[in-house]
Amino acid sequence: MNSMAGSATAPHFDEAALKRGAGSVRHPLARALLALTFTTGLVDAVSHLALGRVFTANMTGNVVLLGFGIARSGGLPVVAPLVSLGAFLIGAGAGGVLVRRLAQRHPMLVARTGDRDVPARRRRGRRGYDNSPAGQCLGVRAHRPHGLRHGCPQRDRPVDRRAGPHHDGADDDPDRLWRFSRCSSAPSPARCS
Amino acid sequence: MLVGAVAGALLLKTSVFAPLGLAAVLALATWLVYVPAAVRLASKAP
Repeated sequence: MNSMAGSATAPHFDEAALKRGAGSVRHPLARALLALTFTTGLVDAVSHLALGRVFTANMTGNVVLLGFGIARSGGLPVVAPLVSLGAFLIGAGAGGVLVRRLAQRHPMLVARTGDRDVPARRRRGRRGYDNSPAGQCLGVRAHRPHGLRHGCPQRDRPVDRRAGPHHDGADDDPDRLWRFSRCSSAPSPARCS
Repeated sequence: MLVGAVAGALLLKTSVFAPLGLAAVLALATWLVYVPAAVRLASKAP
């Protein structure tokens, strides 16, 4: 299934066209990612060179530096990487909350990620409910069992994992990378699948 | 990221605020450019 259209009000979404477009540097998402990655390098250069041998964006490097500091090697600090890791966790949590709220108000701006990394068995969730990408509207829903109440109501009935009416094998597709949700946030929202 | 790190290290020779200001401008510009572009892209879908 290549679209999320399931009702008259749910807009069609051409995932293949988006994948083709995202492969180009001229795509807005690719440009945004490049700019943000460049910004990450800038911020890390400042924090590491001028603010005390600690990274503010590169947590992998922070963990390594923390290990060196614990081993008392190279005179590296211990507290600074720990503070940076804690602040990063808080920032990541705040970002998750922000994305969840943004997904309810502006669902089309939230990109779905991580489908490739999550096994299909885990995506389906508990009690046989279909949490597959074909049945989901947003990636946020994987962490919210009852779905998005306003942006995209979930299916409330269990489905057969293999022969159900909504199982099209799309969640087993390894090439599925991500998609935009186009769910309506109107008071009487349309289903996405 | 490598390019950003090199640019940040070079800009750091002038002032601490130069790379930080550039990072802030880039983040703001990304938000201001990406959001309208994403809305436009989504609305183009048939």
